[in-house]
Amino acid sequence: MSATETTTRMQRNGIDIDDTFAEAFPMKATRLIITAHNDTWAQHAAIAATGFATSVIACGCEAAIERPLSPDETPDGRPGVAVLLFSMSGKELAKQVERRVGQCVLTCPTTAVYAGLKDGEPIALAKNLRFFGDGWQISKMIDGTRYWRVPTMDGEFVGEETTFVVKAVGGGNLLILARDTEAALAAAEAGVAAMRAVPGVIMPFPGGVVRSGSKVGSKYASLSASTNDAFCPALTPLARKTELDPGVNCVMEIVIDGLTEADVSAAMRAGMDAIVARGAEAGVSRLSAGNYGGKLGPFHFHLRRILGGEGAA
Amino acid sequence: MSTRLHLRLRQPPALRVSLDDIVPETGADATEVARRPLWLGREAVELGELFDVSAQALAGDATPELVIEGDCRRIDDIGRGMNGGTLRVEGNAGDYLGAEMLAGEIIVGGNAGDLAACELRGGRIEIGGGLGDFAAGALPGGMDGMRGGTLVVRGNVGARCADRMRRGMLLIHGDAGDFLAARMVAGTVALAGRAGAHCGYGMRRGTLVFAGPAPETPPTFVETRHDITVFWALLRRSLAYHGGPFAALPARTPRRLVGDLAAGGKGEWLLPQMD
Amino acid sequence: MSTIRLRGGQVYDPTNGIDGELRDIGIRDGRIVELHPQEKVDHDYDLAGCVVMAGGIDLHTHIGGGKVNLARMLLPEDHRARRERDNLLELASGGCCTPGTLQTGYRYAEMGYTAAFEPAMLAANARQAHMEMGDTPILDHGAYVMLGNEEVFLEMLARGEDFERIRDYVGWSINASKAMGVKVVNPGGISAFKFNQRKLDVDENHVHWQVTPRRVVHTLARALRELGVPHPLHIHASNLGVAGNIESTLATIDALEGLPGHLTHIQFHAYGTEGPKKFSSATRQLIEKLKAAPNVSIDVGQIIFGQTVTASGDTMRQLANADLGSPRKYVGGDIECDAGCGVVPFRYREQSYVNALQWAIGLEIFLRMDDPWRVVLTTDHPNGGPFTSYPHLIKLLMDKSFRDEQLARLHPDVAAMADLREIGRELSLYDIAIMTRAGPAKLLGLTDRGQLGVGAAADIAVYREQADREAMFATPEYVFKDGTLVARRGRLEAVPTGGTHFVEPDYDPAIEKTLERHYREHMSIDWRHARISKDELCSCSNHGSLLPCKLHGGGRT
Repeated sequence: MSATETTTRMQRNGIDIDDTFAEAFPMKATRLIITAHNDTWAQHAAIAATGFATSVIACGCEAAIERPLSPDETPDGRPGVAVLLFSMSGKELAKQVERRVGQCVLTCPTTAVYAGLKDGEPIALAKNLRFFGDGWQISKMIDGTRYWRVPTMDGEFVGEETTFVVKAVGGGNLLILARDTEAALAAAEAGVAAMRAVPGVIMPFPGGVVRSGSKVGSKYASLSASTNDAFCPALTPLARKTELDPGVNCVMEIVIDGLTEADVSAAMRAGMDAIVARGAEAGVSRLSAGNYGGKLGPFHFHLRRILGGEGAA
Repeated sequence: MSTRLHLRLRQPPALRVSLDDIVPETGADATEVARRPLWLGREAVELGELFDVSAQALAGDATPELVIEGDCRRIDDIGRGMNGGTLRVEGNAGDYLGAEMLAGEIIVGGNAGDLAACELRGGRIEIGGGLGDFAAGALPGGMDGMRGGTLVVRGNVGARCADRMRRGMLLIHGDAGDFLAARMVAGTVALAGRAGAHCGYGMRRGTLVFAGPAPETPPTFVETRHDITVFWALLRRSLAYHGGPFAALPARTPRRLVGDLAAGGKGEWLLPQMD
Repeated sequence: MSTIRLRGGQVYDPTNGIDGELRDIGIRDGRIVELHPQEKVDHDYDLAGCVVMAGGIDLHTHIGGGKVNLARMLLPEDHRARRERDNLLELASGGCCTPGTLQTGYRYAEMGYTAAFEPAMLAANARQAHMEMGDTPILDHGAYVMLGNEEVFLEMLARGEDFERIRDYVGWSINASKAMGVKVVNPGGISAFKFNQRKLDVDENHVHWQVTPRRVVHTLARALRELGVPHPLHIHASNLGVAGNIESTLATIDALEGLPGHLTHIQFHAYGTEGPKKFSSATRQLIEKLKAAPNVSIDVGQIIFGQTVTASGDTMRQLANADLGSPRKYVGGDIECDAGCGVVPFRYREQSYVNALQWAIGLEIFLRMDDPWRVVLTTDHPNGGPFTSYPHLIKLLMDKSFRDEQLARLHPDVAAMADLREIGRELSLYDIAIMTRAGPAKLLGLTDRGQLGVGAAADIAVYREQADREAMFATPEYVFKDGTLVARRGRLEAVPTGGTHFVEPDYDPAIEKTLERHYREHMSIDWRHARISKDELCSCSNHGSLLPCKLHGGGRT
């Protein structure tokens, strides 16, 4: 049942804000800083290292570029990229970090990799990659931090020995209910662009947007999740329950993982603000969020609270 | 309650005296410290017979301090095995200054004797003047020399400096004697002045940075010409923090030699001033 | 003239069959005497609640000679730990696994030991060994001269020289070096090492001399028996520390053919090759063999966990062990081509399977051997651990629950599998008195030591009875050396100079002609200096008393 029917309406710029919340889960996360000779190669490494990392369901981790870094923000004074990786456990995250850095950063010309967090539970970063050096690797402690230098064909790969894992929040989300595909995409893009300016978060799906929002369970015993029929316009007249009003013909979702609850909240706010600013004329009629009734995830992001204030505008 | 303890040497003793076990400590009591036994040759004397002792209360959570004044060239083991606090020597110090130190800071205005900072494990030692031989090396029988921490020497160091050094950073603003960084295991030594003979003899790993004139290349060191921009950027930034001749090392990749080939050859010399 | 009465102590004197009786002991002028109960004495000690034993005797401890000094030089860090100089009687000396001479004397005496024997004195190095032992205060001392690997001996054996000549050579060597006995180390193997052999089994030929360790052992044991030297041939058998060396150990016992022999640090020679790691305890086989061979005595060479240094004349085995050293240092040496030496610092670790098993094997040997008179308590100081760990070892032997507690901390495979778990035996104070005093005295032929009978030397240790045997044996209440109170509750009271034990077997001096030629042609030492005279021994040994030992059967006839 739609939340809007049971409580007072809240509208911003003509867009209905549902009285609902996004339900998120605890995850483990780390930040890596990848630098290279220039932006291009730092991007190449970062894109590859965070590829195929949309959902922990089958990718092992959720990862994406957090933001590009200017030379004065990186440890070695070269252009770089900050990436965030999220996983359900520290152990799985460690495995993903090692594989992804080993295959996508160590291999990428001119790159170096550093821990982007200075506190937390340590996991191996270049610690095991060093063995690629076949005995020629060199360890170096500089100001309390250990680096490994591994000879490669372009010179040497430098990597910090460990990175740090912190508790994080995964699964913040925003549902954009729109008139048509054009309107939904444009709103989602604007939302993602605004969220990317917020530090400490990533939107792990392609372009930051997911169209295959899911519910828990399936009629097929082997599947643990399946299409979110309540939000599928194709199923408005068929499904047992629908969340869609007439006139909503396309829904997009933005999923947000963040280092802290506040980061996720800030990102959702930025996204909503951006969409709201475009007004109902741009084709978006409602903003909603996905949850499981609040029983599965400890983090609840109430759309209305995030936007501040109840009631109509 | 934290304390600043002052020891003022009345006059240089006739014999060498070990000041082992006298370190900065919270709640130090001047009367009690003055009664601590020291050995003057075969004779046990009270510390108060050699030093004027006074104590001054500091704010509760301040780092405890120990200030030693006077010409302490014959006072050995100052700050030996120290594990925190700040120790200032206003003048010269004897042998074994800061040996086996774990943490804290020692600042010496003048010179210190032999074996300073040997087997240093952590903390920071800064010497306004110079050091004798075997600085940052190993104690007799020790397999490793300095193994952590930072040692900054504004003046010159004697022979065998950083012998068997394993970790940590050593910056020498002046010149070094013979056998600098001989048998070095790892760590970083940066030298602004000239090095004596047999520099890096038998070094296995570790980094020697010659901020000033480059020594002659020994026959067991060879040049590599690969790009070490990244490593140099990291190291240069760390060196620059210590200022002086290390503040403005050029950013371009320095010339790099590896050696000692007779000992595996994973040590390196970086020569930023060379073309 | 001074008289002392030790009143009402519980006396353990196995030589005289006294097992814990309450007795008085009288001392006059350094000897034990019968004192009339009413007789006035100079000092009267009330020993209620105390255990009285003869002073301890360590018949195998490396306290003097070349390799001890090499070990000291190799590990200066062992001498760094400072001790409060609160006793003016103690001069500066330090070290734990490589103690200085003074430290050795102080610490031994402090725990109730009054005699110690250096087992590996090179003939060429005998002066130095005697000087070092002479510099070791309080303790009486003696040494076994190392034979069986020197050119002159192997050559005689190889060319089939008459046994009598070889026996004369052994007799001369003992006299010349002022030894208390003879030790053979890796029989023939040290020499074989120099001919590039890296292993020598008991029946394997030395590549050059074509002599087997079996012949070396038998010849030396027979020579000692015929010379009347009381201490049996002191044997450091072949293949020390090698998995499966029980075979060589049993073969060495066979090589004795019933002649007396003392297998030293037997723990290092009792390994099988069973189990997943191909390293196992062969204690059962060993003990069975020893039960059938009453001519053989042993000392254990128990290992103790922690830092120590292994110093041995066995160059062959020590070179093989050099890579296992911790800290990783090594010295190997040779003097006059007559023997060898290897020094490797070692840290025995509880979590090492091999070390844990070695520990268990040592204890199994102590506890399984039914005749305490043939087992001597040693750690082969410093090879298995420093002698200062004896009180700990005694507690392990006397206290099953303490032993189990220690065992549980070891490598899990050893903790779970070792036979030691099933051994419930706890040694009694009487057993300990045998293994540390009466037994070694008997094996050395010291008739007036290691016992408390009338006429014996008043070397006495008095321990305050305590449930914690480690604490009890670490700090005796009183220690007397020749009637002088030398330590009281762990604090030295006097630092007399100890005496030198030695034997003087008779031999035919005709052998000296052969030896003189050998010295002239092959040795760097002048023949005239080869022999240490009694006068020289006196000055070497710091003018301590000379204690010539009685020969069995009056020597050669």
